[in-house]
Amino acid sequence: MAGLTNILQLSQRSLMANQAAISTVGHNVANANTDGYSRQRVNLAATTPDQTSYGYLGSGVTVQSIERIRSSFLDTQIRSTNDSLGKAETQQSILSQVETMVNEPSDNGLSAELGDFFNSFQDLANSPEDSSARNVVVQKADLLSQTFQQLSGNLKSLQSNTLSDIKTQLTQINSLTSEISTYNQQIIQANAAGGSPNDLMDQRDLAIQNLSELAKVTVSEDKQGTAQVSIGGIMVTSASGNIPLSETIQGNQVTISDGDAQHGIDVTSGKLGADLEAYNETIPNYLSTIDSLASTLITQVNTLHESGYGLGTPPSTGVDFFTGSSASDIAVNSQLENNSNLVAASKDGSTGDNTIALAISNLQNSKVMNGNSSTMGDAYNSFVTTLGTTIDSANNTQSTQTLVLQQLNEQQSSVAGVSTDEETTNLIQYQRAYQASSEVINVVNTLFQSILDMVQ
Amino acid sequence: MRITQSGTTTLYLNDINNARQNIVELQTQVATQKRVSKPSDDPQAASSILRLKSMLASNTQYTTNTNNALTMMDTTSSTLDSFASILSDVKTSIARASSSSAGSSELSTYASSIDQDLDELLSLANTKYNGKYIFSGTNTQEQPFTLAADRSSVSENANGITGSIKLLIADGLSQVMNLDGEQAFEGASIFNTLISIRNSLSSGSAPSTTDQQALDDAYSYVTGQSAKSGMIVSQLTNNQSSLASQNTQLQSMLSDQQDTDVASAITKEQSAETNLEAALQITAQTLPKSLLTYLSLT
Repeated sequence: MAGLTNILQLSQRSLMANQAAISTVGHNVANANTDGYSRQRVNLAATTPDQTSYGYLGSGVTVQSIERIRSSFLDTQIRSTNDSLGKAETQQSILSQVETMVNEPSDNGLSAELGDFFNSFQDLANSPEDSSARNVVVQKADLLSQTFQQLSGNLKSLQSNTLSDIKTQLTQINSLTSEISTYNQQIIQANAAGGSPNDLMDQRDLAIQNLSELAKVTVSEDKQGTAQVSIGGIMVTSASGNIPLSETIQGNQVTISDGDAQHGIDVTSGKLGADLEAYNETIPNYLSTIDSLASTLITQVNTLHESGYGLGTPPSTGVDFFTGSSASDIAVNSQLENNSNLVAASKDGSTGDNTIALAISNLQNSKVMNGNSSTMGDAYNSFVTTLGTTIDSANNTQSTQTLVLQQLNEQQSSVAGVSTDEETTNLIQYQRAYQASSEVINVVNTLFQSILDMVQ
Repeated sequence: MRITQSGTTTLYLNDINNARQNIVELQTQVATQKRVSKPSDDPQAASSILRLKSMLASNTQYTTNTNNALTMMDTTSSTLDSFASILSDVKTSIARASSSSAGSSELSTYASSIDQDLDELLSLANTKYNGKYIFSGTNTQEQPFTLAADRSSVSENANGITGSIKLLIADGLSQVMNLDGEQAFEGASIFNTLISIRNSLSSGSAPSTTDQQALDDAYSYVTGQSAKSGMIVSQLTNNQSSLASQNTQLQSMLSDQQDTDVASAITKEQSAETNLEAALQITAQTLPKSLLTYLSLT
């Protein structure tokens, strides 16, 4: 038997439930543009009915739970796309810098300057008795040496920039894992107190997502609700806190560890993975390619040049053309800079002989690189082509992964995003329910009045 | 599928961004006229471009070399022609001098005419072109033949008058650009033969048959060398024109790899602009619409 008081209580519960629902609508709308926010839903349930002689009489409504709506499957996919995209983007940015340094195809890249250098020896062969042709040879060789040195210097500074990027990323990773640990603790407490800490979970998911751009992460959740995040097989956040990562530089190699030297962490993906690969492999490979090109040029030209004769009485001989042994220190012998007549063109000392000049210019077509299988031009050409192909493939990965990420984000936003239209509709629904419940209280009030009037 | 405002906003932004990016790429191609301006634009084409550019540079160099060798051989050939024609005159006068009737005064006239010819021939053999003695082998700065002060003999440069100078005129193809003194005249002997003939004539006797024979041999030798240099000239001329046609071919191959097809790029650019306009219009129309526009909550 429902007393009037019961109806009042029922209506009050309804007011409170609808108020909670309206408040959630407000929260959703307020966070419609918040990064990582998942829409929340109030789950209403009918309260236990009263048993009466004519059956069960409803006793109203209560808020059962407020849950966040999000697909954790999509989250996993977004994280794994994030790390491939992060890697591709970083690769793209590093390699594009190399591409700018290489400056090909152009009229003042290494390829053109190598050609100019060899051709200047042919000009010398045309007039071996001429000192102005020698000045041109020295000048072209200067340009070529400078280009080698610049390229090598630029690659080395890119390498050291990459190292500081690696350090910055480790700082970011450590600050993110510590953030995740803090959320973990708050979530454990909230869970223990009962109720789902939706907003904390959103923020923790966002932090993990940001982490996944830097390195590939795997995430599992334990019973208490702790997110256990691992990078390269090593757990970096657990119930007991986070484990900071640090870098060790040994020789030319950077390795990442959790502080314990035996726990080397193999990071191959994400921005950090891309930087590590660039620092440890890609840039050293490029450097060694141009170093071997420069050192081959130095030895081959010097061997021929030493055996030849320049101008002068008696004609100079046994003079090195280049000094140095790699791309970083290749330079034209300063003796030649001061006196270009020391440039050798002749094989026997006679001023009109051009045999040495021809032989040096012919180095252009000799297979002296890669175990005598390719010319210097070919070797450089294939370096440029490989560089181009690698960038091209990083570009492709980047655009594909961007598309995939866009689609995944769209799907996640379709599940977890706030639709203002939907919220507005819900708002009307809850508003009307609230208004109707208020009306019920009004009616009960008049009923009370009627009873009181009866007594009068 | 649920559609949310933030989702559609990102979607529209991405579409607009892509459309703009496409336009920028195409505009760059049209503006620079280059389809490939960095290796990653098209790695295979970049490789071909580098190779073609280096081939073009070599081609230009070979053309310079060929032109240089050509002027040198031209000079050599015409000098040898003049040389041969003087020798031929000398031969004619000696034939006349050897005919029985010539008296000793007449013979000494022949002698002095041969003496003059000797000067001319020497000056031809010491021809300098572009700062080089053309018949001095690789000692191009030293005069190859010197007449003694008493005009009694001609000597060769002690440092040698031999040595061929080669130039590259195509990949792996070198071409001699000079005939040295030995090759052109078989050294100084020809001049000394003339001196000996002159001496016989001025002493009133007819030249010896050995000298005459030597003169005949020298004449036919020089004529042969002149023909040889003429052949080299025509080879070089051929090379010149084949280098020129190679150059044209290489240029057109380079252009194929490197240059923008402007017509097609502009067409694509226009269609990309239409895309952008469509994306903008749709965004402008859809984005502001929401249920709130039509609803007044009271």
